[in-house]
Amino acid sequence: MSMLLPVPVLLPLSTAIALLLVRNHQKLQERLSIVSLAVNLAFALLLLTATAGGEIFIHRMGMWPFPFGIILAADRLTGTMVVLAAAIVAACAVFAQGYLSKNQRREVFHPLIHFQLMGIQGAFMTGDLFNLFVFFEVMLISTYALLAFYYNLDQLEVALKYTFLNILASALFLVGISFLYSQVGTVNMADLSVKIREIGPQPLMVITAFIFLFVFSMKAALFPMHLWLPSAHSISPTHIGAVLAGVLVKVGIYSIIRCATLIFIGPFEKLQTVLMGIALVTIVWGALGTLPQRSLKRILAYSTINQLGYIAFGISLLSPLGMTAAIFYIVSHAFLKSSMLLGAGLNQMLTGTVDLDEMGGMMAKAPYASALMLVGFLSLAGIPPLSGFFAKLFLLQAGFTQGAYLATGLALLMGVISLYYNFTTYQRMAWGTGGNEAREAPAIMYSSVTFLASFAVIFGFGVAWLYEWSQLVAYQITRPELYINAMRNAL
Amino acid sequence: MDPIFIAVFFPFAVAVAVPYFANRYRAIAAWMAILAPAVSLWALVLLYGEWSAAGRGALLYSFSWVPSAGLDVSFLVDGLSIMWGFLVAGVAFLIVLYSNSYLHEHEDMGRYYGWLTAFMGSMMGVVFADHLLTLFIFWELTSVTSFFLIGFWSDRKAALYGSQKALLITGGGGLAMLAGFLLLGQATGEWHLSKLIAMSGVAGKVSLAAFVLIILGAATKSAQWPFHIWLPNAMEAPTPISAFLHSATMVKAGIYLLSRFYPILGEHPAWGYVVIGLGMTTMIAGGLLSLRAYDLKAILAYGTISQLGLIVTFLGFGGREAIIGSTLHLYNHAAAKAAMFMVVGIIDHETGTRDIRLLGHLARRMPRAHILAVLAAISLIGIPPMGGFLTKEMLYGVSIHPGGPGEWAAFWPWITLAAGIITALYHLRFLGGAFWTPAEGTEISPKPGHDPPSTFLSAPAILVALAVAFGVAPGLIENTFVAPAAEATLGGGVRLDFHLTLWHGINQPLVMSIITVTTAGFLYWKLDWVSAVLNGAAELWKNGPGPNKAYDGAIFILKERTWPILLSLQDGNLRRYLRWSMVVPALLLLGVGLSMDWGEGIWPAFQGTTFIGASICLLISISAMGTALFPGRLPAILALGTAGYGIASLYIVMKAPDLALTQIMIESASIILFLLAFWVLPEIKIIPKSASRRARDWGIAIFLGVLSAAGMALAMNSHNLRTIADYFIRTTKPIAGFRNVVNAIIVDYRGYDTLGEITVLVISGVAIYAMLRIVGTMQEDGEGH
Repeated sequence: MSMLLPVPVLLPLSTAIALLLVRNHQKLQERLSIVSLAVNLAFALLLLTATAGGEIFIHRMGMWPFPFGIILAADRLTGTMVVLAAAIVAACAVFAQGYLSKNQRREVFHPLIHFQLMGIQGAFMTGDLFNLFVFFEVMLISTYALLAFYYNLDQLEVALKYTFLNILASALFLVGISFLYSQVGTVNMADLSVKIREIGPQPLMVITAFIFLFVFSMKAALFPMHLWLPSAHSISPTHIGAVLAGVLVKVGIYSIIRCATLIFIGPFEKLQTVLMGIALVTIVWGALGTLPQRSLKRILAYSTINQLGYIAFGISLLSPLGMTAAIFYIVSHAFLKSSMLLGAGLNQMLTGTVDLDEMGGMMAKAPYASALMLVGFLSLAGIPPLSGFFAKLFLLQAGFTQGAYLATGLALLMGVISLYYNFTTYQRMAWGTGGNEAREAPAIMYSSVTFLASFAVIFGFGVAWLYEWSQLVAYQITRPELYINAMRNAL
Repeated sequence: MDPIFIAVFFPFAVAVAVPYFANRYRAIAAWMAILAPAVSLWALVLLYGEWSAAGRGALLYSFSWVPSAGLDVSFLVDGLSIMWGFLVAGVAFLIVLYSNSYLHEHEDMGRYYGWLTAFMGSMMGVVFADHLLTLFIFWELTSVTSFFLIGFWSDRKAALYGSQKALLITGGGGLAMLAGFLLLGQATGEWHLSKLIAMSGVAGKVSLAAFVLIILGAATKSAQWPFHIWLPNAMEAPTPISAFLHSATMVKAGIYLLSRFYPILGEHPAWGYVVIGLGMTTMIAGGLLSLRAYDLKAILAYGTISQLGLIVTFLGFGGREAIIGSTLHLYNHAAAKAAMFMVVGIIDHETGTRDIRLLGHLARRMPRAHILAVLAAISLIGIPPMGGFLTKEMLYGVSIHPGGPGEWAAFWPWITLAAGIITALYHLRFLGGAFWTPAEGTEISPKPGHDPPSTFLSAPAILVALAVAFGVAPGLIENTFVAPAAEATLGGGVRLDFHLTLWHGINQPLVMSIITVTTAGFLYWKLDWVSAVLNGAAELWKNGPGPNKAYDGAIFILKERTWPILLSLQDGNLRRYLRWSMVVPALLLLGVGLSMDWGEGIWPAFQGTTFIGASICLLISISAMGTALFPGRLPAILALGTAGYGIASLYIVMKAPDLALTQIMIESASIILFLLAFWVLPEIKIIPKSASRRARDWGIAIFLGVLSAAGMALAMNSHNLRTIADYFIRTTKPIAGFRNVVNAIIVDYRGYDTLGEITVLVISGVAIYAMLRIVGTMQEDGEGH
């Protein structure tokens, strides 16, 4: 397996190049793209099963020894995240097949999603902080191109905002890396971990850790760096919004987890307090932001901010229970939110709008589509026995066990608002009469939404599978010496 | 399979299947739906046998769900849950029977019966759950399914409002209860009700917060004041739903919870005060509100609130008599109240209205419905020979010698008596308004109304018959259901053996009953006075606060008032976004930095500064400012270039010629590109900023600049450990085979980074290609710019 670690980067990269070469043969390009996504997903599952046993796979690029070259590493967390990325991007690409009509510039769409996938998977696979920066750039530029896909004014504006804010974060990332390098003289994550513990939490190191928190908060859309997210979700093409909500923000969360469990371990109490504060403000901001919206997609966008706050809250507990809850939450939310954004796109296809005031009566007009959305809303509202409920439950348990009563209480209180916005949104969409007439949508769109939505049920009734897996992941990441030793002893 | 699993899960299976079949074969929808309560009842009978054979103790059934989190699906079968199971499934059976006549042909039966049977399954789950989380799961499902049932007629605005309100209050209360459960589980280390009941001294371990949170769950569900406000709005549901949810099941779930927790938390010091306080307030408030309602269903809804308050009060008193009385009252109330709701449904169906001002003299046109309504009402008023008389007597008896906190004991009989009088009065008003007196004004009901076919009347008739039977022959249920349930509620292995009769001599409770009936009769005669007093009081309190105003106000604030606050930041203005994303982290960093002890401080960091280095830095800063200051593009580009060349010269000073060379190349290339691009692009007008904005932006820029410079200086000064650079210098020639370390890093040591960076360039190329293509197609289409 170790030899194969570059596959999640090289496969999308070579596919993207091939797709550019055959851009004039539309059918061939589509098929090639889908086949490659399927192979990629198969490989991700292979990686997941390989990491399940607890082994951490290491691949030294150019065979340079630890800690001098770039080293790829795959533990259970990596395996999990890569599967998420592979599955969701594939489902979104399939969905887009039913969405893009012939003349809408498919020729660059497929290459770009493979480039984006390369950036995402590369970020998950790397064990090198500077290399993470590079893959962030790959993600950034490909996402920019995809956000502005139709080059209409709204999308250009959104893409511009996304890019400006993320370039700011990139600059801060570089500042952070240079701070780190000047203090400990290395960029390998495992080596950083060892050396940062060696010199202890000196003031500058605390500052550096904060810088990284802000950098990754931008990707993870945590307050106050979340500002780009609502319009990026709602104005971009649906399949891009779904990848954004399902996977891209999780790259930021993933990086925060790596910082909290590997790079900056030790007594960084201030950091923990600030992260918890950020998480709570994010939860409240996202919840309140959903209430006055008219656009279905914008509600889902604010809800994403809200949910990311919950995940960050789990991480901020810095306990195995909190990590388990956060991992569970990440997986549950990734499938859930991407299914809901695609569902919103499906409704847009059916009614020609995402404006809730123009919808209504979907329950009667498109029973299956609204049932799919209902599953999503129920899970998002934390209704048992769907996966969203257990995600919140485990988080609350972790919070109470930690003794963080007030913070956990606040998180729970926001659950009431989450009930409100989910159920009223469904009402506005599905109940009553009126609204636009429903048209038809291709079956392929239904199938990808169904695929993603089914996980809300699977991880609800089958909560034990995901919970036990999350425990395994949390067990491994809360023991950084496993990761460090694997890096050190790699052949 | 154990019958308990059939009893709980079979309704869910029906709920999933019904919508599918109902849309194809409408005729069988009701027959499929009735299978759910029928099969559940059959399973309960089997279960009752099993439980009796096992000596009427507590039986446990469970299967593991998430073993690693200590979560299982487990059911507790004891006297209390058996009784509730029969209550739920029995009423559900009659409700489905009744619904078949009530629903119009064109209604969406799949959806109706689907949610109805799902609700029934959830209720079964609530009353049988053993694990606290299993209980919560079913509890929350009752809130969710009732949301869909209340909003069944989804094109009515009031149905939207009512369903939201019910969901928010009962669902929110459920979340509070969940928090209470989590705290309880944490405090005791035990998640199973059966174990908690057996454990001693649980009440002493539970914090007041956990206690209050659990009670909140019960109070919201059981519509206790001030959470009662959802129940009247929930009357938007089809009437059979109201009869089911708001007489026998959902609102009683809170009562069930209190009964279940009585042996666990009954000893808690706050139990008496909190529970009696809630119950008494609710009992009186519900009754008074009922007297002011005009909708028959609203009268019943407020009446239900009042009755629930009564039961809660007696659970608050605690003790043998109170528990037996309230348990028996559950049966009587369920039977009589469901029957009354069904009669209202019939009236609504036959006359087209439920407003007592429009209805009149229905006793003549609907004699059979009239008889049923009268019998049900006198049971609730507490007149022999109905079951209600029995329980009213018992409860009056308890109020004279109550348990609970002693300070207020002297008031309890009077308050209970007052509640009894109000109850009798609003029932008389109900009967009078609908059946006895003429319509108030000239406007009358849309249809004159007449008795419906017998099938429609069968369900309420069965219920009324039961209400009579409970009074005439209490032996039917006293030792089969009531005693075991009361035993389980009392806990501690108590065995009860009692025999109830309608007549037990002339005693204080009987006197109280007589006072109740005569006073209520008198007040009904002078109903105008009562209404005048109540309306006067309401008029006085018109502008005062109230729970409904609080609810609507909270929703208004959430929806309308918070958005402007969010919008003041999240308004889509990129400049604002950038400012926030820079200033907030910077301030936080500054705050954190200032709060720490830096040891030697910041100043030694600048010790190694040379004159030439400092001068170049100054030049760079000035050029950077120039980029922002110069009005034209050309000077700005040149200023930017100067800053870049300044950095290159810094590299030279620091003896890094290859870096300097690279920097010069990049700077030159970008200046040329900029100049070329701006040659082609049209001139744009720059809107001048106001002086204050300029000052603010300069402030931010200088603040960030100084902050980064300070950070960098500190970082430069803190080389604590050897860097990996030594290795690169050492191995460049012998291993990598390069003469230049920078080249070796770019293409070998970190070649993977370079691959990524090249890809970034490729992607930019693709994006530009795509943009040019679309501009091309736009021009072809004749819409180019």
